Amino acid sequence: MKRIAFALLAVCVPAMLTAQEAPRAPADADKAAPPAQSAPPAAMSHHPAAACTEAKVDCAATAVPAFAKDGRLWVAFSVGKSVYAAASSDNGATFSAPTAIATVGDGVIDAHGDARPKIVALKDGTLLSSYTTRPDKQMIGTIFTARSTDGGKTFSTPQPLLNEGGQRFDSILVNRKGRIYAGWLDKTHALKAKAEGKEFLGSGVAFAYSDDGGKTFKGKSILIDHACECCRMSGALDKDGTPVFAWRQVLDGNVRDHMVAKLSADAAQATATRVSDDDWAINSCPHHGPSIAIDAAGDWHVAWFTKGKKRQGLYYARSLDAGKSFSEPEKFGDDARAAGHPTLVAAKGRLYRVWKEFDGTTTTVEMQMSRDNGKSWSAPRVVAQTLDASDHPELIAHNGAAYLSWLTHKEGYRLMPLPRDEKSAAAAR
Amino acid sequence: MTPIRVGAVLSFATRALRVTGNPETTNGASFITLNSRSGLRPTGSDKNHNSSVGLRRMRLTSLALAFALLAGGGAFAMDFKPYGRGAFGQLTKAHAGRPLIVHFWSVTCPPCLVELPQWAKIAAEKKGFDVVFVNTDGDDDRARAQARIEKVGLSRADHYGFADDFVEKLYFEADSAWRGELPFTALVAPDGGVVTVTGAVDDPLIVEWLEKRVAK
Repeated sequence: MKRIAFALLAVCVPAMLTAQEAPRAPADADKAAPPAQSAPPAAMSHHPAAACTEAKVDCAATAVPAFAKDGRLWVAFSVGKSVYAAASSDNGATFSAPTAIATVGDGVIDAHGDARPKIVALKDGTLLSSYTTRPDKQMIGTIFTARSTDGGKTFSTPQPLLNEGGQRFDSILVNRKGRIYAGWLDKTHALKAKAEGKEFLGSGVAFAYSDDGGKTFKGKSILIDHACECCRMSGALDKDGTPVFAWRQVLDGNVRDHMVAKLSADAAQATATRVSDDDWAINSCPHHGPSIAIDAAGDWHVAWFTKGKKRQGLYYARSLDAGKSFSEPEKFGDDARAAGHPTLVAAKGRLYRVWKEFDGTTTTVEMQMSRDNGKSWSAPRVVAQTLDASDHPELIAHNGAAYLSWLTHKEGYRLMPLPRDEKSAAAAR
Repeated sequence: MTPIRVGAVLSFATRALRVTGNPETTNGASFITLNSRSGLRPTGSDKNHNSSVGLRRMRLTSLALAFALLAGGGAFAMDFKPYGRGAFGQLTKAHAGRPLIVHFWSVTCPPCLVELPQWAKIAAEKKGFDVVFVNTDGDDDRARAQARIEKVGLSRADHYGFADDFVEKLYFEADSAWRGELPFTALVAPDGGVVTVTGAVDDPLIVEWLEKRVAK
């Protein structure tokens, strides 16, 4: 009877475990282990690693950078239910007071892992920000865009890219002529299939363009179906100013390998080709999208993560024929340190790739550079590290230089110039 | 710990028969919290898996009331215990000697949501092993996660929620090669040995593990 009484206590109060075999609240494991009887009330959930809740980039979980025409660095980020943009005149060392772009009443802002508010800078000084909200009750998103034509002092009322269907993971690019291209993952066809009781794997890959600085987007259409719905898309501008997008596709047999597609100038056509046959047949969400960069010669470079039958880890391949064929995937990163979240950027004859590694204590951002369009790479070098939570690394090129943009809980936001020559790139490590 | 007695009294009427009906649960209080309603029936019987809404509501109300009294109000009927640094080791230690499944899932992972009812069935019918669910979403998505859990009848299972943004660390502790892909399941042997599975509940490793336990 005594045992039953104990059991009852636990049934009534699952969060306040009292019996001898009850697991204590694991979140307090860093503290000295108390006996189970004195387990703290585990129900009081909180985010101990969240640095702060102020409206500043250091308090955000993700930060996406863009250099404006005037040389200022802008970052888009969210804290709580608001999206902000803030500018720095000293390459990220300090930021001006942020401008609030939007506050969401219902639902959440998609700012976690591969999902994040973004910002791009137009030639005329206009800033275009994008972010996704997800309503409380449904697992679909709405992509909003907002513009600033006064140097980021104010942003226009955010406009939904589409009002129905469900969209996430936008990738927005501006070419030299000022045409803006948007690519995103779109659930419209998936929802339609669901309503009809049909099976539909993944999301559609949709595109649009804008010739009025992002005020309106034309030609919105889903051109390809069955993208993996929980991984980011990546985009880069080809030599001719039209964009190329890379994403994870759900192929026959639930194989989640990568595709690329170059969009036609009017965003009406896209032909997808497969980057690599990794054969990752899995009914899961990798939450781990690819990265694409295109160099000045017009060569395409893609980096990605896979756990396929044929290869596992981080891989890189390039295409010298505009995506018709790709080189044999080349492995990089240390699997023993959970290498992940690779990203690429091309800057003035150099190509950089960075990724994260974690050894159980320290998260590092590793970097390699190539001066021969990806044929060979410098030895990996640690360019930044942290001992606590961190965002995925981002790369940005500006005036011929490449920078690592990285937000970490301990250090806050950092913009770090990457080395320009092999010697310094190979140094250290 | 006097307040706990208050909770016990409040929900005695709705729970007493259930507890006595399952000898497994008397082994320790922690196992009771793992059981969902149909887990108290013989294995294989999933008829009436969902109790009538009225009864369920009554139980939830009772639990909520108990909790409100204990926690001073503001608590949910069901809650996610915080899953932070060291959590995985603590869980395996706490369940040492019994096979344990730690299932990680997220509301932003459609395959996770599709198979959640199957996990509810496993949690309901399990015998001789424990199941712990870990929601990897942030606080912002927790209400949504809770709604999902309630929808599939998993409210009474043992739930944790990521309570630390240092996700690399949380992943690493379960499996040093895990980068956060979901669904992700750790199959923990009584001696603490861990086999991890990326992918769905029908993965041969999970099926085999369950079959082995059921056969025992």
